[in-house]
Amino acid sequence: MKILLIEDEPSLLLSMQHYLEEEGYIVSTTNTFRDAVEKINDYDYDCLVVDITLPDGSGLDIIKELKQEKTNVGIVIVSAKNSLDDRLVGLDLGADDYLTKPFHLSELNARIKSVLRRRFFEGNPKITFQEISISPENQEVFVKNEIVELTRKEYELLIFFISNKNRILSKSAIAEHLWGDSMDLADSHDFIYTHIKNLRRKLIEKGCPDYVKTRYGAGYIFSEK
Amino acid sequence: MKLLSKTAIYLCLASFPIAILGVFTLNWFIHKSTIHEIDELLISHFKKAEKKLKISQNQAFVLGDLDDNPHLQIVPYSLKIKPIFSDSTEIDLRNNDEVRIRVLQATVHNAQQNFLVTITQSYEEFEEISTKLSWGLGIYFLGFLLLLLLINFLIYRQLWKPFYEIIDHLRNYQLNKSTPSIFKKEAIEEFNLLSQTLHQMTQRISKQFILQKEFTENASHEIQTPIAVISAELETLLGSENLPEKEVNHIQKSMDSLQKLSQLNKSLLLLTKIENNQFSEIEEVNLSNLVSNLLEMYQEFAQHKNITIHQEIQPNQTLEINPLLAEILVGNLLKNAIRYNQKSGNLTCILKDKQLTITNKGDKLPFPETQLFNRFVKHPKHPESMGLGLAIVKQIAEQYGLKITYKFDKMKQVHTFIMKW
Repeated sequence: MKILLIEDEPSLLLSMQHYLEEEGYIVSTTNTFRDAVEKINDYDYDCLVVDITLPDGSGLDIIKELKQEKTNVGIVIVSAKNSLDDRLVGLDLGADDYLTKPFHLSELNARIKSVLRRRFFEGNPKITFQEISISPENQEVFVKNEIVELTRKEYELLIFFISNKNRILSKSAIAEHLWGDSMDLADSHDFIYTHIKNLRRKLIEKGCPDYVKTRYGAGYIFSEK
Repeated sequence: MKLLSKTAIYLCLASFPIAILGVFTLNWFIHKSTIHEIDELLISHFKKAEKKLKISQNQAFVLGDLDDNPHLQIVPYSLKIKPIFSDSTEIDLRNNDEVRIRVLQATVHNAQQNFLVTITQSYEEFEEISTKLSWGLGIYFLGFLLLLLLINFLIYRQLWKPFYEIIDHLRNYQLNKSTPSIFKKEAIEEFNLLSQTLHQMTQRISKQFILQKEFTENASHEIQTPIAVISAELETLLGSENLPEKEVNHIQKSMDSLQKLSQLNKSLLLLTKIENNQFSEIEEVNLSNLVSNLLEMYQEFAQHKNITIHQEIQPNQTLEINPLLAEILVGNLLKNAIRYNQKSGNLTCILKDKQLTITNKGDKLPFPETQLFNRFVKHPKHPESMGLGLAIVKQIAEQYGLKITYKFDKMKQVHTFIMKW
C-alpha cells in the first residue's frame, strides 16, 4: 500500500511517516502544493493524507484535481481548522475522512486503515487478527467462527485495537476515538477501563488469549505476544 | 427635557420683558408725537384768532364760539405774554371724568384792547388710542412668537427625523454584524456631517475589529499545529520499546496536559467565534430531538456514575438557532449535570412550553453564584475541568437572547438550570 503525505510542518510529517512506515506502508512525503501535484501525476498512490493549508496552495484543490481524474485513491484531510464548513467542503469534494489537528497518530492510522478497507476490499472486507475475524459490513465479530456479542463501543474499541496492534494506545487516544467531542466526560480512569475490561472478558470467554495488556497505567497494547 | 422645549422656555422668558418694554416705549413715543401735533394745532388756532382780533374793531365776542374756546379776557396793556403751553385737566361732560387737555395762553392786542387768549384742546382720545395701540402691538408680538413656536413644534418631528434615525442606527449597531454603510446622506448639512463622521468612525472600528478577529482565529489555528507536532512526537516516544515506567508516566502527563491545552485553545476559539457571530446560519432546531439524542449519547456516562435520569420531553419544541451551537449549549448543560452530579444521584431534564429545566444533585457551589457563568471558574474538586463550559453556554444564550437562570435548593441539595425562550 502506497501512501502520500502532504503536510508543510516537517516534524509532523516525519512523525506521521515513521508511524505509518512501521505499519508496513510505503510512504512518500511532500510539503508543497506543487510537488504534491507532480507526485500525484507521476505515481499511483492508494491513500493521500492532505493538509488543507499549504504554503503555496490549498489542499482542497489537490482533492478537486484528483477527483476529476476519477482515481480510486483514498483521501484523508488533516487540518488545523475545526470549522464545519471546511469539513463539509472537503467531504463534498470526495475526501473520505477529515481529521482535526492535533490528532493521535493511532487515530490517523485507524482512519487510513478504514479508508483503505472501504476502497480496496469491497464485497468482503474482513479484518482478522489471529482467531478473531470481523466483518465490518454487518459489524459482526467471530472468534473461531463463533459470534461474539459486543456493544457498539466494545466493537469500535476492538477495531481500534486491531488497527493499532502492537502499539501502545494512550487512554486519551482511546477516549477521543470512542467518544469524540464528549470525551471530556470520559476522562475518569475507570470509565475507559470498564469498557476494556468487558471486551477482554468477552474475548477470553470465547477462548482467546488475553491480548490486551496494560502498560504502567499509561495505556494499553493489543498484542499477540 | 428636549432641546426644543428648552429653547421655547428661554424664548418665552426673554420675550415677556421685551414685550412690556416695547409697550411702554411705544406709548411714550406716541404720547410725545401727539403733544407735538396738538401744540401745532393750538398754534394754528391761535394764529387764526390773532388775525381776527387784529382786524376786529369790536368786542371779542366775534371770536367766541359756543365752547368759549378760544377764551378771551381783556387784560391791561402792560401784560404781554408770549404763547406758552401747559397741561391741565377738565371735566368731561359725557361721563364726568377728568380728561387731560393742552392749554395755550398768549396776549394779543389791537388798537383798542389787550386780550389774553386761552385756547384748550383735549387729547385724551389720542392717549387712549396710543395705549390701546401699544398694548395691542405688545400682545401681537407675543402671539406671533407663540405661533412661531407652535409651528416649530409641528415641524420639529420632521426636521429632526434624520437625527433620530441616526440615533436608532447607532443603538442597533453591532460590531459583528456586517452592516457598514448604514449612515445615509442627509439633506440637512449638520446631520449629514454627523452621519458621515459616524460612518467613518464605524468603518474604522469595524476594520480594527476584523483584524483583531482574524488575528485571534489565526493564532488559535497556528497553535494547533505545534501541539499536533508535540503530540505526535510524544506518541512516538511512548511507542519506543523498553521505556521504564517513570518515563512512561512523564510522557503520559505531558500528553494529558497537551490535550488540555488543545482543548482549551479550541474552547477559546469557539468563544471568540460565537462572540464574533461567526455561526450565522440559523435554522429551526428541534430541541426535543436534540435533547433526547444527547441524553442517549450521555447515557453510558450517567450509568457509570449510577445516575438516574428522569426525562420529560414535550415533542417538537423548536428554537431558531445555529444547529451546532444548539448542540454545544444543551450538551454543555447536560454534561455539567452529569459531571457535577453525586454518585448515585439523579438528573432531571424537562423540556416543555419553551423552557428547558435541568437539575442535578450536588453540593453547594464552592464559589459565589454570580461567578458561575464566568470564564475559568473551576470546581476545586474537578481540576481537570477548564471552567469554560458554562461561559460558552452564557455566550450562546446571550447571542440568541435566551434567558438562563441558576438556582440551588439548599434543603434538597439540588442545582437547577432553567433556560427560557
